[in-house]
Amino acid sequence: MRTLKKLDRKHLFSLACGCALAVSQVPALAVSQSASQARPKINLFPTSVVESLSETSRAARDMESGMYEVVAKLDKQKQAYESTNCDNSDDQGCVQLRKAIRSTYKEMLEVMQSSIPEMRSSLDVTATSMGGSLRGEIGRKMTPGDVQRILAGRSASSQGTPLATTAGSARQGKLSKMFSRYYELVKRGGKQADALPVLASQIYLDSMQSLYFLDLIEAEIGSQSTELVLELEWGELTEQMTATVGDVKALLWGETDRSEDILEVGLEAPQQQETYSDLLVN
Amino acid sequence: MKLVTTGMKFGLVVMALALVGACAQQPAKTAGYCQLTPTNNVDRLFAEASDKLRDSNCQYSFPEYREQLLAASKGAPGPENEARFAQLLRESIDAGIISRRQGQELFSQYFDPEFYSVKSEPRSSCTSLRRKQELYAAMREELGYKREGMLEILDDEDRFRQAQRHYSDLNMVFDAVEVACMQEI
Repeated sequence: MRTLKKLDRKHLFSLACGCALAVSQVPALAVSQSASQARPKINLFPTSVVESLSETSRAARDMESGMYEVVAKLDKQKQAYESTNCDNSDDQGCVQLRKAIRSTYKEMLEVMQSSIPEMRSSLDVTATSMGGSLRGEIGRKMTPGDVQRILAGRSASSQGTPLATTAGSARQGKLSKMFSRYYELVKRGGKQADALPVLASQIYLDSMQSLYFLDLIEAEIGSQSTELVLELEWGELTEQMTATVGDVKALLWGETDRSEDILEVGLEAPQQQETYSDLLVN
Repeated sequence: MKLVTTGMKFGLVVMALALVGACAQQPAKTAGYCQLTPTNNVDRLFAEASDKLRDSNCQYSFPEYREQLLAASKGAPGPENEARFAQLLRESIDAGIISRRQGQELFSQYFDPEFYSVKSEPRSSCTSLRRKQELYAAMREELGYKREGMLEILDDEDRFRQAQRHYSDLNMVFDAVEVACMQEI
């Protein structure tokens, strides 16, 4: 269960980053070509990477949509449980409600469990192709100084357009919101190209980490399901269960959004220091 | 004959006295001459340092001057300090006191949002990142210089934030590239 919590926003959002990039990178790179003539050539998102990201995106979206219903059901049951002061009560209605909650919780874990193999498989492809891309394009072809030059975007001259705020509906999931933000990125075009190494790195590290956690989670879910079957008839709802449901809700309808942090990286206009060019190393 | 001998003796005594006087005066003059006059006027201090560095006897004092000027500039932070340091470094390079490389290193470490320690790494990223911890240590140290230069000397918070962003972005990319390179091994 603890590992399930660890998956929370960070790891699942990283999947969202992957999905979003699948949509965003092709046009972004196309637009960026002309603006980056003076910068080292970099192609971190070839078609194979974009396709694997798209696949990961789809898997994450399926997981998200599959969980909406069951989490909403769980939420209602929990509200009813709390409003009737069922804690530590032996009342038959409360026992039934606890049983129903556990059953729904088990259902939620099953949805996650069924999504994991596909998710792991697509993540694996993403991590492998993204790793190959980073290794080939940056690891072997570039010095650390080249990477810094790209991130600094010194040859870019135009100002970044302020990010348009996308107001999502109450039911709009974070992943869906992320997509709309990436759509904004695509519209803005190549200025984001300066941040591509950061985005690629973030996706790669998160994919690797998510893979690790997916393995742990799958094992954990297996053991929890067994415990739930055994405890289905009696026993209090554990804090662990409540916390997990909270995390899942935060994932689907939460407030924090890492996409903005990612998207804003490298968008600042570079400061020109031509006055001191003789004292600066290129 | 006696007169000549007396005259020669007198001449020798005068010469000896002159030599002794010269020996006694020279070190005292050099030591005092190379020190900068304590003042809160940054412009005057830079001008004096520049003046002293033209004298070959004082050129060895460059490191002390640098420290004194850094300290004095912190007492009067502002964007004009960048030009003051740039001018002094250019003069020092021209006079051969420091190499162009040293001048660039000094200036970049304090006033460039990008990292000199990263720029000066000539090998490919996969190879460089085998010693990632050393690179990170150098970057951390340089970030400290940048804090001093950009915040305390130039009072330029935006530029320091830019340096911080470079620092965190580079760390993330280097971490990922290192893992990617290791996967191949």
